[in-house]
Amino acid sequence: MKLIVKPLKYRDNLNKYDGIILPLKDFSINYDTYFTLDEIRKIRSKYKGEVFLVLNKMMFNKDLDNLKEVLLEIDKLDITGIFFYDLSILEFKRELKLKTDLVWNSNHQVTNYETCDFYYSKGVRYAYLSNEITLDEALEINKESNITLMLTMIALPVVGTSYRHLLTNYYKAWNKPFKNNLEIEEEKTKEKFVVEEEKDGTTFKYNKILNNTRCLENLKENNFPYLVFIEDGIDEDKFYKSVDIINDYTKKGINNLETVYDLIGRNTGFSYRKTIYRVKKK
Amino acid sequence: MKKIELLAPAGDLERLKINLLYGADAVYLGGEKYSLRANATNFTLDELKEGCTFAHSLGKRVHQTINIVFHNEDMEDVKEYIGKCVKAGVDAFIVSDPFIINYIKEEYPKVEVHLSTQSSMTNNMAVKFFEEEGVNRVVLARELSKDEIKEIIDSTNVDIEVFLQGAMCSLFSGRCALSSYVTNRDANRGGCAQICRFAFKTNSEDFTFASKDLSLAKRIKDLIEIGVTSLKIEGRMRSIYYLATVIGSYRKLIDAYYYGTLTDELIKREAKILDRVANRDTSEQFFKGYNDYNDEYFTGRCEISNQDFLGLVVASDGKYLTIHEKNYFKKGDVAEVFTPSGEVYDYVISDIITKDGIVDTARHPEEELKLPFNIKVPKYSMIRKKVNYD
Repeated sequence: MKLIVKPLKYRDNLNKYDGIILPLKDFSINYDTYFTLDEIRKIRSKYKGEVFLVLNKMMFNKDLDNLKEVLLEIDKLDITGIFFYDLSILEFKRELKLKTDLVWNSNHQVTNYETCDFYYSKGVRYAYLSNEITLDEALEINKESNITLMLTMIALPVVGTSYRHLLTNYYKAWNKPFKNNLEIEEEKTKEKFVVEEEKDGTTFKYNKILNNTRCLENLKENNFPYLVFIEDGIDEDKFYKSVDIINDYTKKGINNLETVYDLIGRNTGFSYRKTIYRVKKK
Repeated sequence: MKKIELLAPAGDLERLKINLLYGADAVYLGGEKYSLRANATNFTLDELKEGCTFAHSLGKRVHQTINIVFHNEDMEDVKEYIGKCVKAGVDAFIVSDPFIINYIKEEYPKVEVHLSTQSSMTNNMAVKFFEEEGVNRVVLARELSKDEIKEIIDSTNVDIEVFLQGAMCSLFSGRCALSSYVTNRDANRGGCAQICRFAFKTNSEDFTFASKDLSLAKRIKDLIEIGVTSLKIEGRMRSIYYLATVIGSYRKLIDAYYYGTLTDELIKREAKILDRVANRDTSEQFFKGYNDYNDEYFTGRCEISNQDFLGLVVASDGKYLTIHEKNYFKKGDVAEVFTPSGEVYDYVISDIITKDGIVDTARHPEEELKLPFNIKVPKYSMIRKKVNYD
C-alpha cells in the first residue's frame, strides 16, 4: 500500500511517504493551497517519490487553450498521474497522445467497478474512489476492476462544488464585507460545513475530519493500492503525526493506530454506512 | 431548418398524456429503477408501454432516464431492465454513467443515447469525448452562457439539449453530496433531499443559497438561432396545471418564431403567464453570461403556491363540463377554459352542480362537479382563474 499526501506546502520530510499530490494553480478547485508549474518543476527535481498533480476544475471553452498548453508542459515532467474531473483532459490525452497517466477523480461518482473499467479501457490508469461509498464497495471494486484504486484515509471531505460565487453573492445581498471560509450549520441536524470561495467557484467541505484508520487492516489484507491524505484544514501537527503512524503500520507493521483516533477522531464517513435512496413502489 | 424540440417532464402517465396533448414534442420519464427522481411516481413497464404507444400515435417520442450514478449493487439487472424498456418502445435513454453507453449502442443500435446533465458537460473537448463514444445527444450543464452553448454546437455533430425552464441546482449537477452528508440520501442515485434549499445558520444569522428557477422565455429566438436541438422543461414532480401552462406558453412562442409572428408583446405576455405559474422567482441564470446575487435566494425560502387552477375537465358534452375540482371557487368568479390545442374561452362560473345538488361554492378539492358550458372541449382541458396579462 502506498501513501500519498497533499501537503499545504512543500517540505523535505515528505520524502518519507510514497508520493505527493500537488493541485495546479488555475486548473484546480476544492483545495486550500495550489502550486504553479514552476514550483512543481522545482519540487519534482528534488522529490524522490511519485508526484501526482490535480487539474480537477470544470473546464470551459475559455480554459481549453491554456489547458492544452499546460498538459503538454506537464508531459515533459516525470509526473506519475493527473487527477482529473473534466473529460476534456482525457480527450486531450487521447488527441495529443500524452504519456502521463490519469487519475479519474469525479468526486462523488467513482462508485462502481464497471465504470472504473470503462475509463481503464480508455487509457485511465488510476481511479480515486468517492468518499460516499462503503469499505465493502471499495474492496469489491478493487477486486473486480483492472484500474488502480485510491481511497481517502484522512481529509476534510469535499461535499460539493458550485460554479457560483455564493459567498460574494451572499455578502452583496446583505451588504456586508466579504469573509471567506464561512462555517455554516444545518438547523435541524446540526451538521456543519465550511464554505470556501475561490476564483472558479465555491466549495463545501464537511467540518468533521474523515479518518478511515479503522479500514486499514482490511485494506492491507486486500492489497489496496493507494491511500490519500489531505492536509488542508487539519492541524499540521496532528495530521503529520497521524500520517506517520499509518505509514509505520503499513510499512513496518507497527500498530499504534489508537493514537490516530485520539488525534483526529473516529469519523469513518460512509465506510460503514450505506447511503439510501428510494423509488416508490406501487 | 429542423424545428426545435420541446421536451417535457412526465412524472406519471397522466402527465405524459397532458404534456404531449398540450404541445410537447417529446417527454422524458423515469422507470421504477435507475432514475434520478426516486420520489416521483415513475413508470411501471406496463405504463411505459402505454406511454410509448400513446406518444408514437401522435408522432412523438419518449426518452427514459437511466441516469443514476451506479454503485456495484445497482448493476445486477440493469441490462435486462434496459431490454424490457426497449421492448416497451422507448426511443432514447438519458444516461450519466458511461459504462451503460457502450452496452446500449452495441445491443440496441436503433435506440438513441443521450448524456444527462448530471455529467456536467461544459466544453467542446468533453462533448467530443462522448461524441466519439457514440452518444447521440448531450444535455449541457446549466452553467453555460449563450455564447458558450453556441461554441459547443458549432464544434460538434451531436444534438445539443439545453434546459429552458425550471429548478436549478446551486452546485454542479453530480458534483454535490450535500444530501448524503445531511440526510444520508444519495442525490446521485435519486435521493436528493434538496439541501441547497434548506436554511443554515452562521453565527446567529441565516445563510441560504437556494437558486431561483431558470426561465428563458425571452430567449427563444436566440436558442433556435444558435442551433439548439431540444429545449428541456425541468420538473417530473410538477403539477399537471404547471406543465400544461408552461408547455402551452412555450409551444406558442416556438410556433410563433417559425410562423414569423413572434412579437415582443407575445413574449411579454407569455413570460407573465410563466412567472405566475412558477412557485419561485426566475432568472436567466448563466445563459445571460454571468451569475450574481439576483440568481439566488439569500433571504430565506420564498415559494408561493399558485391557486389559479380551478378544475380538470374529465368529460364535456356541449352542455356541461364534468370536472375534478382543484382549488376553491364560487358562483360569479371569472374564469377561463383552456384546451390542449390552445383555445381559451372566457367563462363566468354559474351553477356549480354536485351529486347532492346545486351549490354556490366549490370547496372540496378532487370532488367531481358539473358546470354548465355549451361548447364541447376535449378531455384534459382545464379551468383557471382569469388573470389580465395585458
